[in-house]
Amino acid sequence: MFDSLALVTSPDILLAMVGGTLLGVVVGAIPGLGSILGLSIVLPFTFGLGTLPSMALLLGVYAGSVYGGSISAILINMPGTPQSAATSLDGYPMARRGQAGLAIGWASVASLVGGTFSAFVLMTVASPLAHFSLQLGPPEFFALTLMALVCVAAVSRGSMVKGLLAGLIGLFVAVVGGDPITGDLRFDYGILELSGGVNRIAVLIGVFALSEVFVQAVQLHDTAEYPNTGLGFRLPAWGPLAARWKTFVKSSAIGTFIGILPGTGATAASFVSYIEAKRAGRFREKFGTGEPEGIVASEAANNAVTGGALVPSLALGIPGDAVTALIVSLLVIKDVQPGPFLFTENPQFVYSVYWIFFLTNFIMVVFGALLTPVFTRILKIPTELLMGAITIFAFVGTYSLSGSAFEVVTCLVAGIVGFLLRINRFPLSALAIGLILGPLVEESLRQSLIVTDGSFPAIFLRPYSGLILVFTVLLILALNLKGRDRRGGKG
Amino acid sequence: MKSTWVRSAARALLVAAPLFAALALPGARAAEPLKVIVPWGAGGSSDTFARTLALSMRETLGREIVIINKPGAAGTLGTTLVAQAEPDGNTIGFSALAPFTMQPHLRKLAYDADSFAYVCEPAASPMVLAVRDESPFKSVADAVTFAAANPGKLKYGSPGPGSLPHLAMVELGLKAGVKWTHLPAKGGDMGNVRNLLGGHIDMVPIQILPLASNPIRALAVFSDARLDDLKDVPTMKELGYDVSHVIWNAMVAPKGTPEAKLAEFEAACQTAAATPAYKALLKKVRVPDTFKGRAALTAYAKAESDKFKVLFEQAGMKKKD
Amino acid sequence: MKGRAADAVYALAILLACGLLFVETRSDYYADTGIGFNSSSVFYPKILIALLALLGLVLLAQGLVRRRGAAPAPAPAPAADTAETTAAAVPLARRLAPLAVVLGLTTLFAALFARLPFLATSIPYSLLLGYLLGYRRLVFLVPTGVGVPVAVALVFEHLLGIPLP
Repeated sequence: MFDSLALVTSPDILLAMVGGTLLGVVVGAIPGLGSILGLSIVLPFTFGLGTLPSMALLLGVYAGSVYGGSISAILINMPGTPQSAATSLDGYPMARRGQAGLAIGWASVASLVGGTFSAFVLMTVASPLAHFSLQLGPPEFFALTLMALVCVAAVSRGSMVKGLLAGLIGLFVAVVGGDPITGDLRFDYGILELSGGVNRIAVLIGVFALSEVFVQAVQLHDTAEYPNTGLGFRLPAWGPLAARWKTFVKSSAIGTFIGILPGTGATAASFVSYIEAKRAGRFREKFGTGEPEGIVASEAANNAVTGGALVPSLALGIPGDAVTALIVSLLVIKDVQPGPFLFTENPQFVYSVYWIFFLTNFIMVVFGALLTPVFTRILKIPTELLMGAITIFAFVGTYSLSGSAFEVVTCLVAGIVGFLLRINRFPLSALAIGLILGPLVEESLRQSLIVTDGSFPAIFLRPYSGLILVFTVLLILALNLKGRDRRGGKG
Repeated sequence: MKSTWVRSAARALLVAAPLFAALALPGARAAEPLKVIVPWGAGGSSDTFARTLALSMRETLGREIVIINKPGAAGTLGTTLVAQAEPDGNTIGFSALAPFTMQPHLRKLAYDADSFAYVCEPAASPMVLAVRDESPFKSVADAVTFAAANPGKLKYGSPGPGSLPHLAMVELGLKAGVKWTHLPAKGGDMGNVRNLLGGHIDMVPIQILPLASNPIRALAVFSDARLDDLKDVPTMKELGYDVSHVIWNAMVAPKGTPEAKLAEFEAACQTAAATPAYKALLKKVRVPDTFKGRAALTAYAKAESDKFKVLFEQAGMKKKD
Repeated sequence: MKGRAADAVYALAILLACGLLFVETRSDYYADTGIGFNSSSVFYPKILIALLALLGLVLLAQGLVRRRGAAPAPAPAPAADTAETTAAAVPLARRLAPLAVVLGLTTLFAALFARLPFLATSIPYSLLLGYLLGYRRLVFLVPTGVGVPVAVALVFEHLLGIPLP
């Protein structure tokens, strides 16, 4: 095991790790550029590299981009990647209070804990866990997506009706395009670009980033001064950290578990974890007002997903999403066949991957610390100038998704709709999760109905899907009861 | 107030105008890169083939090659863009067969199988019908017998509606006179292997790569002849089912692309397909080393398109408009 | 009060959209089942539309009925995903003018984005936007207005190898 450590500390692997992580953090922090784009950029380099340096490069980009998204979520309320949407719930208020650097510090520690926790899981119980996960089929996925959706609607402040509405709007946008079961096109109105569905990343950028520009325009004369202090990177002190240890552990576990399941992903994980912390966390009363525990819940979970997602990819050769699919296909090209035999036939490779992943998480935090002053400088730019820059980033980001002007228009429309929703306090995070989980919700529901011969109740009459449903109901009940205590009868 | 706005606007325009002009001018670019549109996501098998071919074609053609992934609508979105691109030799496409020869019979599209000049077929991947190791079915006949006794009970997977595995199973069901249920799943072959291992489906047509590393086995091969890799596995034809399919990948150009360009692409593609890097890729993904040039591929694509047209009619799948 | 009235307007808009979408699902186009046989492609969208309409009605009811007594539900906390506008100290017109400018310019930018070279649209956009919104310190305006687009172009085209228009 430790000879593998020596192996991965060779200069070329270290260099690949550092380079990959740096790129990952930067693309993660820029709204619109996500993990996939970062990976596509480095993919050509891997043709000339060995297997381990290639893995170091890809894992660095992967872990770094998930972490990087939190930086812009905290600083400008604009999640760099959808995975960090939940981070902004408490991260942004903290930054508004003049603790931007400290908020990033919290996010860094949480990411580190989540990432290394999942690396540890990957190391020890990957094989049995991956085999267990096979038993979860369409009904379980449907139950899980339902849980994520309900959680988000519940977490959104204000009216739950609006939360659910926003979530449904997100789900409906995801319906446009081909039917997953029959292949028919729906709501495409004969527009070629819509036949492939609305580009969901473009919508997210529009709804989160571009709408901010419009909101700023309305508030231009309110002169809400952004604090110029507390911009330097600061790690949280030991005392506050120790007081929140339960959330660290629980969120990491939630993230790892959700990461193991195909398709659900880091966005859902961070919201489920956030709501669980809001229910049970020690500082739950202050959630939404800039409570570090909220950042911890979101960031520990979404970084734990990265390790979790590698579990089925390496142990079964079955990737759960586009990012791990890229990693698996690279491994096959490099003559490493991921699958049940990998752990017995090539343990050294698995250990090396574990170490790379483990070290990457530390490098990531170092870069976070180094880059924070650069990113926080953004806050000093006057609003009028920042607005133009945000639009440019939003459009360039969407354009680079597929080199098409249609995506830019999608982003603009989403920005205007997002603005209209925001001024009437519809929670955008619910819309985001509906949008992201939309295809999985429909696919798993309709697959389930095929499995159960068309019966809705039968979907939840299986042990694990039933369990998830019961857990969801309990979670919601617990939250509502608490809310009632506090707010005196208002839900 | 209004006049202030107008004046501000005018002044701002003055500030911006020279820059605008200066920057708009150097629009003329150096040699246009060759755009290869892959109508599937990055990391998929079409994408991997295209990227590996591009490594060598870049040098042979002496120009930059950009791979553009345009996934969506079962591959027809990106393929439409290829069909509608200027036939000037600056845009080509690369995909497996479905968007070229199958989808045009299933839905209204802006193109059909004749809208392309077929350049080369650098890979044709065989397909097998796979079941779990512990499945009670030892042969295709076992599955057919079970399905005949329990119509609709058996479930088969596919990467999506209208994909080749889906159609192959529809055809097999027709020829064997049985009914089974389709449960499509995202994630390509591996997504279906997952469902197979978890017991959510009973069988699935997949390529042969996952066979080696998973507890699954092949009942039959969809190719015309037995495979070198799987000598013991019979073909569907041997078993008495006249079903034969292979996942062929093609590089195509929009129809009307100059003859000289097509010949240049064909030669570059052939060179690329013979490079050690490409041969190594084929070996790793367990795809036999075959190659078709322009003439052979054009005839083959036509024959395939006609074959699917008849098949869809038999299966009662009508084209939707 | 004002919030409730707005809720009612939003609810009506949602209900209208639901109605239009529902009419569309009844059209002949979706009558055929296509290649998937026993499954309708609007089965799931119809569920969503029904849920949307139901919640839209709830929102409408809340907007019309629960006016009196009940204080606005959420405490005005700086929530991340709500845009809280503080008291309307500034006249409406002065709020809407910048919004109109931003909307107009951004729409124009989006329309021209893919037609002209990247720098030819982005530099005028960022300069104009800053200037029209009343920012007058050219010492900062020009460097950022030009610098940001140029930096973005450099990073994308040369570092990342992603072609821009």
